[in-house]
Amino acid sequence: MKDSLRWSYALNQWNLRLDAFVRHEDQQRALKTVSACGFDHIELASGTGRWDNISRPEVILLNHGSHQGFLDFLRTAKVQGVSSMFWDPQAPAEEEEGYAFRSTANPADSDAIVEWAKPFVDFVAGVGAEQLVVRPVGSAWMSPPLGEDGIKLVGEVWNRIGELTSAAGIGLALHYDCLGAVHTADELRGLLSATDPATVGFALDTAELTVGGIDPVAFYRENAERVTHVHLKDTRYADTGEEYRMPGAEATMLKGGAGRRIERWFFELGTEGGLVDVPAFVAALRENDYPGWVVVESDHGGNPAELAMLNSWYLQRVLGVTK
Amino acid sequence: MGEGGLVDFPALMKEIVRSGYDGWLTVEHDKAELGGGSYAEATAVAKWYIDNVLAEAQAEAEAEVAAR
Repeated sequence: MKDSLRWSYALNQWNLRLDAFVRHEDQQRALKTVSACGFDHIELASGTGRWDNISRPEVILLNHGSHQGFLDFLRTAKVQGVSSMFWDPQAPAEEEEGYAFRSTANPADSDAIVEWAKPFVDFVAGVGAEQLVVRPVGSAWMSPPLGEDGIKLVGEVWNRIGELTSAAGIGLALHYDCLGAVHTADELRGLLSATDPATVGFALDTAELTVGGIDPVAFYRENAERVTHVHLKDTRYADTGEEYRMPGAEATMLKGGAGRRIERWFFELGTEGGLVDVPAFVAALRENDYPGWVVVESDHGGNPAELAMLNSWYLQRVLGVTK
Repeated sequence: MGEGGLVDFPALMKEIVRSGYDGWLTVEHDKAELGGGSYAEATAVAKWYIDNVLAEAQAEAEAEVAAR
């Protein structure tokens, strides 16, 4: 995209299930789709292990030999680079002795999580990407409310990792999601207050905030100085009944329709009945000379290529961005 | 197009330019969904091929014609 804002596209939507996005030829088709839609940078998302061969630093490096080898792989499809990589330290990861579960809300896990972050920091820096985007805390339904002190403990873990990212010359951006234990606007403000603005930024996801009951345009205007990364997507629904607290909310709410037959929560830009005021949000970014990446994504959506094309159409025909 | 198929599209594009053809070139995908494929992705990959491979062949042939 030829624009003063920098646009990137998230590959996470292609990784629909364990075996769907493993072969290099399938990845090349996704990269060509992104490129044909006018995006020349991508965001990667961490996965659980060996089946996610475009999702974990060690597996990417095994597949491509080096950071440069991976960049060469992207450039075969005319994708020039990586804007950012998403990492959730709460997600189970394959280790030699099985799957490890850790939480930033548990101080006993802090050292291990900081250690776990290092390969991601090295990889993001190594491929010339700008932001390590992270899920700051696990899902709300899995633990009692954090409270102010609990949020401060979470912030301390990210301050430690922020020192690592800063030393490596990259940014660290905490990504709010609608299931997270930091849920309300006040809790989110508390987490931002508990972290060092010099080293820890905020990744604002327009749809996740909207589902969680927070107006993304107003929250951006209030916290523009902290926003270092953006995920742009739409939703047709908000969580109206504390559905994020449902046991197993990842399945029961996000995939199971929250008991009210919601087939999917996240939608492409310009979707009928979308709740996000995308033009107002993008205008606010421009007013503030937002310097970071704007990553378009449609996770849990439908056909990835169709959504990428619809998002590209919206950028060009509604927002007036030149491809 | 461009994934190991038997049609030499760059050569075809050059001949189309040299011949002075001025009609439509229509991309189509019969049975793109077989084997788990998708029409949307097939369309995007074709556009990528046009932008990155056929455009080059077209430019080369147009330069040849202009130099005649």
